[in-house]
Amino acid sequence: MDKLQPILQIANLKKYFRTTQGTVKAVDGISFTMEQGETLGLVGESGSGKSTVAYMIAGIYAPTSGQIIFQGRDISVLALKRSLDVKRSIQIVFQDPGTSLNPRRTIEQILMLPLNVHRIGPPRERQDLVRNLLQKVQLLIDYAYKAPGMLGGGERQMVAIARALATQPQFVILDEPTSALDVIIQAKIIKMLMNFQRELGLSYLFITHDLSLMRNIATRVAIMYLGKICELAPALEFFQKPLHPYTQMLLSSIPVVSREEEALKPKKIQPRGEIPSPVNVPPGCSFHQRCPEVMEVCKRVDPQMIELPGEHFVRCHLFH
Amino acid sequence: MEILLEVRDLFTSYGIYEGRLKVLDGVNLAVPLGEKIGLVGETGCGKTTTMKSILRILPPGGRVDSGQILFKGRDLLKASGGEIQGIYGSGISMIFQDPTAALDPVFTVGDQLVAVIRYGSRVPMSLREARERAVAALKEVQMPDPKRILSNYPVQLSGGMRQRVCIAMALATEPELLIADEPTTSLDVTIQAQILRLLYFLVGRRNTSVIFITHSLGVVREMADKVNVMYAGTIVECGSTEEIFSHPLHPYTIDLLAAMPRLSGGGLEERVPGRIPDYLNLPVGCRFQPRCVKAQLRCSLEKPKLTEVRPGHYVACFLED
Repeated sequence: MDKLQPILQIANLKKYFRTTQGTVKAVDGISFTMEQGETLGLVGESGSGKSTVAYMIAGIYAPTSGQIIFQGRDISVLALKRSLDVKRSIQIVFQDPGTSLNPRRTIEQILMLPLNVHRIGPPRERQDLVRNLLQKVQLLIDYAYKAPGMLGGGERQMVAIARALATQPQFVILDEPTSALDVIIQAKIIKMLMNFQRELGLSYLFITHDLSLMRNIATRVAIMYLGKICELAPALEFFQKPLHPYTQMLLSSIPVVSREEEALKPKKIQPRGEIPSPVNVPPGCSFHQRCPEVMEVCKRVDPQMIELPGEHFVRCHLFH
Repeated sequence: MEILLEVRDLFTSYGIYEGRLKVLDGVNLAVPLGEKIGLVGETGCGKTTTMKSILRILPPGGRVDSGQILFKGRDLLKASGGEIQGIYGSGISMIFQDPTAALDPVFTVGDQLVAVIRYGSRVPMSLREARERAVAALKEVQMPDPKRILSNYPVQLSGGMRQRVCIAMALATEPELLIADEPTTSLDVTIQAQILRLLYFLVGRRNTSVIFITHSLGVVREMADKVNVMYAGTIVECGSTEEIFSHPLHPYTIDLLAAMPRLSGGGLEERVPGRIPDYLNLPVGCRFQPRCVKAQLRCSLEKPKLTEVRPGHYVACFLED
C-alpha cells in the first residue's frame, strides 16, 4: 500500500515577536511531518517555543515565515482567513480548563457553540449531540446545566476535550492537557484520549514537558530548545538511544519512582544552567553554554539537522 | 532517636458558609532530628493545611480543633506570641511553592534577605554584618554574582533564581526544621533537578530536619528518608522511602503508584474512580473506602488506625490487620 499523504507538513516555520527589548525568536525554523493517526510528542521546557508552534497550527498566531500544509492545503495564515472546513478539522485543548472555558456559560452552551458554528447535525438534534458528547467523556448528562466553576479540574478538562471533539476533527492539538492535574486523573484522561484516537483515527500533536508520559503514548518524540527542534525520533528509538546532550540532560533530570527507570536515566550528564533569554540567543548552537560536551565549533556554527539510521534526526555537531 | 517535631492527633477545619470542612482527621507526624520527612498526596488532601497548622498561618476561618504540635517538647499551639516569634524564622523556616509570591516585588533581594537575617538572629546584628551574611547565603545557593543580585528586584530574576533566593532566606538563620511546600513544582525539570540537588546538599551539611511536601512521588523518592502518604486529611501509610516504594501496602498508595507514567514504559493505570471526597459530606469510616476496590463492610463502619505491619512500616487499612 502506498504511504498515506501526511496530514500535516511544517516547513521552516518561524515566529518572531517584536518587543521593547528586541526581537524574540520564539520559533526559529522548524520542520516536521505528521502522519495520519499518529501522536507526535513535542517536548520542551518553558520558553522553548512549543506552545507557539501549537498556536500557529491552530491559527491563533500567523507565522512570520515558513509553511504549514494541512492535508495538502497551505494554512500558514490566521484562523480568521482559513476556510470553515479547515477550522473544523483542527481543534485544540488548552492546559488550563479553568481559563479556557467561559465561567458564565453552562456546559451545554459551551458544547453547543461549535455545533452551531459548524452546523453539525440538524438544529433540533443538537441537544442530543451535546448529551452524546458528555457521555463520550464519561460525564453525567445533568452536567449540561452546570457551570465550569462547579466542576473539578479533571472534569473541566473532559468538557474541553468534548468541545474539541464536537466538530469531528481529524487533528487535535493537546497543549499540556494534563499537566495541571493529579496523576490519577491524568491516567484517566490519557486513557480516554487514546481510546478516541483509536476509534476516530485522530492525529495528536501532544505538547508537554513530561517525557515519562510520552514514553507511553507517543509514536514519535521531538525535543525543542529555544525555538528549534534538537532531536526527533520514533518513541522506541528515542528512549533507547537518546543522542542529543540536551535530551540526555532532560532524561537525567526526571524524578522517577522505580529502580528500572533509574537505570534508564543517562548518568554522565548533570543538569546545569538555565534556558537563556530568547531575546539574546547565544551564537552558534544555542545549547552550547549548558552542554557538557561542548566543542570549539559549537560556539561559532549552529549545527544543521541530520538524519541518522532509524528515522532519527538530531541537530548536534557531535554527529556530523 | 530524638524527635524534633511531633504532630499528635491534629484535627483542623475550615468554616465556610455551608458548614465546617473537616479537613485534617487526626494527623500524626514525627520528624526525627536530621531526617527528611516526605508528605505526599494529591491536590486537596491536606498537605498544605498540615503545614499551615504547624506554622500557625491558617487563613481566616481555619482553625485547629484539637491536637498537639510539639517542637522540642513545647506545644506550638499553646505558645504565646512572644515565644512564637522566637521559634518561627529561626527555629523553623519555610520555602513556599511560588517564589514570585513569596518575595515582595517592591523590595530588593538584599533588603528582604537582610531583614530576615537580622530579625532571625538571636543576637543584635549590624547592617553591615547582615549584608555580609546575605552575600554568603547567596553564594551558598550558587547564585552567580551575589553582590549584584542583592540590589536586584525579584522580577529581574528567573523563577529558578528566585527559588534559590528563597532557599537562601530560609536557611540563612540556620533553622533546625525546614518546611518545604512544593518548592520545585513551578520550575522546569532541569531546573528542578538542580534545585533539589542543592537543597539536598545544604540540609545534609547542616543536618537540618526537613518536612518535604509534594504531590510528586518521584520528587519525594529522591528527597525524603521517610514518606507519609496522605489522603483526604489522613495519613494512610508511612515508612522508609525504600520500603514504601518497594512494598506499598495501602490500596491508595498502590493505585497512586500505578497511575504514574513510567519512563521504562507502563504505568498510567486508572484504577480508582472518582476523586477526593467532599469535605462537607465525608464518608463514614475510612475516608478512602468509597473509591477503594477492596473495600469491605467494616471499612464503612469504623476508621482504620495507623498500625505497624512491618518494622517501621505503618498502614491505616483493615486489609493489613
